[in-house]
Amino acid sequence: MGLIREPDGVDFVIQSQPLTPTDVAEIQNWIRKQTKTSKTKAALPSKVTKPGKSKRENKTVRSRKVG
Amino acid sequence: MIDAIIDKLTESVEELRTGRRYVTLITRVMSPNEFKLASKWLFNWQSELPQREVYRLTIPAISDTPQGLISLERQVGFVFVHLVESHPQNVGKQKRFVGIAGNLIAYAAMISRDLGFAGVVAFDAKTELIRHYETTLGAQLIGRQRMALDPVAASHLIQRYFGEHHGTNS
Repeated sequence: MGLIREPDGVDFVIQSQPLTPTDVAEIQNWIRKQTKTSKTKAALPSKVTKPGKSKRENKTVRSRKVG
Repeated sequence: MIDAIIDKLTESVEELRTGRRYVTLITRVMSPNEFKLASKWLFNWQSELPQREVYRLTIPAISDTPQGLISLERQVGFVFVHLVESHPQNVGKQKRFVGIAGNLIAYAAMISRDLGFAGVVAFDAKTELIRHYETTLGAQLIGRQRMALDPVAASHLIQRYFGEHHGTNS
């Protein structure tokens, strides 16, 4: 089972710098490279969707003219 | 009443003094009012809400005191971890429990997987922990101090902590 111990004398703390749009793009580019080189596809959508929302939720519904 | 999404139990923290391992519980913190933290926590966790998701790890057999906290943000294609911290009693030479943070990173990977991001997680690492994350989490250094779990590393981490398929309420 799990249990990843931190090294002796080191406390496990993460404090990330705030993400900039450039940071986000760089990480997404890295993900795309991983997808190309790996058999497992990372689910980076071809079209950008809002975080936490499905493609269906982001789909634009076109109304049909009547009459 | 705490409006929390309760999720997954793992057995991956160890009490240093006794060597005993404990089942843990990870729940989402929905309101700043839920924080009743000792003053010695490093970060201002109440300020993380509501713009970020905060999850706490507790050890039900001990108490409902958070033993670790994680703050994360959903991005397109990955989950970004902003803060991870262990309870003040779990830092320093006299730390009580070990394994808290690894537990929380694995949970972030599971959230990422359940969002369809194949478990990809990114975060910034302290310099002295970069090598540790590479060897224990399988994380890759992708920037000066920025690290990320690729889908393969994330899958291994999730399997290690959570075994067969489990889901979050993401």
